[in-house]
Amino acid sequence: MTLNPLANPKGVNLLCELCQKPAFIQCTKCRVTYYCGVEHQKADWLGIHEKVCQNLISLRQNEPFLASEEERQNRQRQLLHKKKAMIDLTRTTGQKLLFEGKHEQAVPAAMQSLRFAIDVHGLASIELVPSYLILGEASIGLGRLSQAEEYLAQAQWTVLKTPECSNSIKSRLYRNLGLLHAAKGEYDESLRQLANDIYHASEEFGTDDIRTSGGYFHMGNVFYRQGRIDIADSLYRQVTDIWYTHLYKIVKIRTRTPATPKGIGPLISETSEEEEEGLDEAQEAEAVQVLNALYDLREHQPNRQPQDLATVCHALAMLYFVLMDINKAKEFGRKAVVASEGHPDDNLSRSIVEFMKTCDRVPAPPTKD
Amino acid sequence: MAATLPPISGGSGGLKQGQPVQFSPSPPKGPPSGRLKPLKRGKGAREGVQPEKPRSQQPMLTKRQTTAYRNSYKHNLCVEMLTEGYHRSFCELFALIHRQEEERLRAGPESLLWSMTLLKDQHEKLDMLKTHLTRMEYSARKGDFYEVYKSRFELARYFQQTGDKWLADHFFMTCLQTSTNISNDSGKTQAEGYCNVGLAQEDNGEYYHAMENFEQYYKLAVTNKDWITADNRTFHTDACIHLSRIYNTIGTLLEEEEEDKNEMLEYLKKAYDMAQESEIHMLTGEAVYRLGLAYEMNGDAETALLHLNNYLAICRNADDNDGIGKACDAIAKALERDGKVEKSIEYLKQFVQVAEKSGNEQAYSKACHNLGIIFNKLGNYEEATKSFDKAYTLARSMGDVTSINVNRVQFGIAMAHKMQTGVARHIVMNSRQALERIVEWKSSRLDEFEKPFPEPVKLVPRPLTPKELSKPIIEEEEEEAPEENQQEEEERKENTFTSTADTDTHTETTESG
Repeated sequence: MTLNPLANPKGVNLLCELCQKPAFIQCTKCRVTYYCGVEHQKADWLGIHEKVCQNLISLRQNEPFLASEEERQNRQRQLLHKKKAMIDLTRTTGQKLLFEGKHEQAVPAAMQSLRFAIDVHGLASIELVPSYLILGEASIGLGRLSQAEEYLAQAQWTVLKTPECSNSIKSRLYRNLGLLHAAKGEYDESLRQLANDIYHASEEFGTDDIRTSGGYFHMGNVFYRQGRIDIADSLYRQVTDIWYTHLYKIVKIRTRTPATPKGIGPLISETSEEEEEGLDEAQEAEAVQVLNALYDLREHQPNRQPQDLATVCHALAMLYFVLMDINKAKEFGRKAVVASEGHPDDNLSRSIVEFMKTCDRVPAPPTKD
Repeated sequence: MAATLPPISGGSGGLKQGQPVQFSPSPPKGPPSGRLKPLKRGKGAREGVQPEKPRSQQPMLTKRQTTAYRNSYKHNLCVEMLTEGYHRSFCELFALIHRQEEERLRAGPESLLWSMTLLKDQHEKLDMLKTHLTRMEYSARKGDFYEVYKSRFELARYFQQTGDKWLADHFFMTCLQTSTNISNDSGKTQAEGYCNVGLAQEDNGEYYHAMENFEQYYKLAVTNKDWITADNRTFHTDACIHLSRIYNTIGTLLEEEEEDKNEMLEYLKKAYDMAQESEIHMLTGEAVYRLGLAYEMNGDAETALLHLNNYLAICRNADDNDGIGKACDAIAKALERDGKVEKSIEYLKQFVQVAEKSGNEQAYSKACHNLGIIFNKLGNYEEATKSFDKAYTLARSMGDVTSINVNRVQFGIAMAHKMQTGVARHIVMNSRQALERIVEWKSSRLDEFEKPFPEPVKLVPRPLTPKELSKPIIEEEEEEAPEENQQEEEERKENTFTSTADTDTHTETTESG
């Protein structure tokens, strides 16, 4: 639906959602979002608007007239609650898009989350940092390094000013700084930042957590680019192992569920569903990206150890199993079997075979879920 | 994060990039106070005293320098390691620090752990850990596991010296794990690993685990008898010694718990076998002795005697006087239990002789004591008194309080027994003199019951006043105050002074008789 800025009521400036220039189009679904052109509308739609379109209506409507103070406060509370939910949603989406490599699309989501965060927490709050970080990462991905540096500097400043800032935020900040320096080609500085990332992540989650593994992975990449292959190799191995153990745990819990007596029915499966530590969307995307990268690497490595390839394949197979993509899971499972044939005595090959069996067994039940 | 870093001497040793990072805050600066003359400026020697330059003229700090100041030492160390690519070392170090913190939390603020300095605040140890961990990761990457083993072992030794038991244990454990990767020395390092872990566990009191590890060690050592430890022993002997000791310990433990006697004997027997295999006589002797004692306690005197005689023979061979003494003592006891008292006395006498010869006062005293007890039992109070007397004197000269007290009481008892017959005889005699003598004894406690009565016939017909009667006897006493008994008297007086319990026993035993 087109608009003419000149036709707007006096004092009302409708601005584009992305570039803050005078708007000429309006989203027909929510009618509260405006764009300067079709291009930006499309970008926003793909990035985030599709998910938040309906939610925006209640947030952007003018405040209705409410008679009592109590009602007004109630509405305030609800709004705040909704906004916080929106921050989470937009951030996870942005992060996921980043892991999928769609940096362009991640920008609108990050902007949106930043806007909500500023709205809720104010300008100088530590809560803005994650949004800055996503923006920074997206900018790095798009090759806009100076812009990225700006975002990250903003984030770092906020972190420095907030001594009680949590380790997880610090870790992500340093990770992004590391990526930035790596993109600039300053490998030493990049390593330093990534080391800081790993340190903080370990403080928060432990050294062998999947949330720490990202740091190792990026560090591995840097070493790889520096040509220190043996170190990179060892780092990649650790990343693989971390994901492997994590996925193995999840698969074990999932496959154990049918073993419990089925008579009690859905109740049991629901409770066990809750206790398992699943992957959120961003983590799924990260797992897919990291493991596939590792798989490519291992496959083309000339003097690899067969075990490495087998582990990666098995981890990937389990990942796809968790993501309910049984066909892919089987495919990688077969690859894992082939790769592990050099080590017939290993624990690994035994668990792979076991896993393949469960794969064959499973297809019927998960479609129900 | 406001850093509260204590001053650290020099940069951490690991900086190889050549860019010195100062971890320590700069020394206190400032202009000297007005009265003092400014110090003469040597040629560059006194630069520290120079007034501080204004900030604008100071060189910009690099990012590394600022972070070094801002962050904790542990943080810097970890980052340093990671930047160099040693991520496994980082994981290990981090896990160790974390473990200690958790243990401390679990122990609570009232425990000893709470007040101890944490590993993360002990910079020297952290540096040590870092250098060795990184070195071993480097070697591991090259596949040189022997180097890894050596580094771990060194670390373990280092922490053993500094007294960080848990760290030493950790590294001994990992040593063992590493040693399984070393394939080209047919398990020598593995054997060493088992031995070290075993020792560590023994130290922690986990005897059964230690035993298992020592058994593994033994298994490896038995097949390769040409391996030699640092102090020039074969691994085999070493394993035997350790096993024998651990079996002995477990045996003793079972004995204390009074659990299954057979199991205890089983362990002691195993210890004996191992000791024999090690071909070290002292050790064999010790094991045999323990075994003999255990059998004796179990009531199997014959087997006990067999083993104890074995021990005696070994000690004779080795010319070990203490050992011979111990053996004689134990044999005597066993014999006594078996009812062969004379033989028992024989052995005890031997014990006394040996102890006297060797000059070991404690053993001598014990020997005399035991001999005394046996004589006392047999009713040979004369001998018993003599033995106890000796034991008592020895104990006093050694100044060992418990042994003094024990011997004192026993001495008293034996003497009382000795006197008993005399007193009884006097009572039975039913003459005035006898009665008076008893009364006399009651007040002065002099043993004169063995003496013949002066002239019993004269005294009886002419009744005397009590005063007259008492006089000659006192005179007699004074005249004949027996030289032989002088020593005893003195001691007895002492007894009455020092301990009333002794006199009680005297009187009790005498009166009851």
